[in-house]
Amino acid sequence: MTRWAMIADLRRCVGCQTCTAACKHANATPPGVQWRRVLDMEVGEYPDVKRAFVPVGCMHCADPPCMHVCPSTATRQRADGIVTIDYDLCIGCAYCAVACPYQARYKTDRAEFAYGAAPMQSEEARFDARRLGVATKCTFCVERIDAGCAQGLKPGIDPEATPVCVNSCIAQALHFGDVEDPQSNVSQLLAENQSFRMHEELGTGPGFYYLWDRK
Amino acid sequence: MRVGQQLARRMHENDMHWWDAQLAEYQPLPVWKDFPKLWEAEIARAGGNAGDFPFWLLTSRSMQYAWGGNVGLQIIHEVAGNIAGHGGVIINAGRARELGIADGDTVEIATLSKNVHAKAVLRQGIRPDTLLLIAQFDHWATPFAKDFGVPSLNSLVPMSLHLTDATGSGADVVRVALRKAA
Repeated sequence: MTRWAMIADLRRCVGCQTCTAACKHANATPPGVQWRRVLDMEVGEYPDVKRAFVPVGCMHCADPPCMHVCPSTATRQRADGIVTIDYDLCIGCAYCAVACPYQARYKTDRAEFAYGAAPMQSEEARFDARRLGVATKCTFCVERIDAGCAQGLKPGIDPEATPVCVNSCIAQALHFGDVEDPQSNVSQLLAENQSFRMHEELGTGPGFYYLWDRK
Repeated sequence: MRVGQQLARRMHENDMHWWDAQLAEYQPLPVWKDFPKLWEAEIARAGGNAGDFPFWLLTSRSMQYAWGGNVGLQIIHEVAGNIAGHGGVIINAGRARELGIADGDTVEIATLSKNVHAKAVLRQGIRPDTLLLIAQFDHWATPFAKDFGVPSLNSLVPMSLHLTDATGSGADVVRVALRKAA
């Protein structure tokens, strides 16, 4: 079996926001909607303080709370672990946005554009009315994964089959791959480094790991 | 003085000798000059009291805006907002508490002759005697950026030959007062 997962190496992330911008470009999300976000956090108090940049988004949980509360079965989980939203089934109740412990879901009720009411040419060309009034979130760039796999490419290794945030990362802080494959890039990183998952105590089984030190 | 020796050894170990002239004049930090005294004298010359302007206001480049050529792009404004300080002035959280300033409060940053207003952004990772205004948003008067509402250090720097060096330049630093705006 395959279980797609993402890794963020907290030692390498510099908070540049390139992944956030790349995601917005690739997925044509409206202003304020950031499927891939990077938090600017401080730990400690002056003068003993450290700064950490923490990429967040949909964790593609093994046991997704968003899916359990969805009354219309719009949110589902694929066999490879990717949590999906069917915009045609979503009724926009936003239960999922409330249930998600990672604040990963967005709902946009009206069309919004970068510079006011009128869309830019690129925004007009890529506007998708199906995304209004429904829940949206990071898809792990599932279309890229599926199209890449169909061509025999390997997600996480071949850029054409890899989520754009990972491709765009200037610091190689983001990685993507199959954690069920012990030889994969992500399995190797997890074997060599200490890692954690966000809100592990909630039992959601996130498909997103954070590296913070060598073993 | 051993400063620079480690760098020299690593370079020579790798058969790199083309930097030897530069290694000879290598210094880890420039010679210290009494900048506080320069500023205290300048404030006194203008008729003020240096004690009334206890903060050093600094500026820094923004990683997202870089040189500012992209300042009109909404997407850059949006993602830069995820990094602390793009929406106001960064103040040490403990010092702000002493001054009765909460995160998001409007504060006045003032010199003897000028003042600007900004939203307070409280952070731990800054010295208690230092303030930081990222970038130069108020002189980027492009149609989009002029609405950011974030002042810059440039507005507060006094025109003074006493603070000007031999190249006609000066340090990006200003002694200022800070208080919660009424």
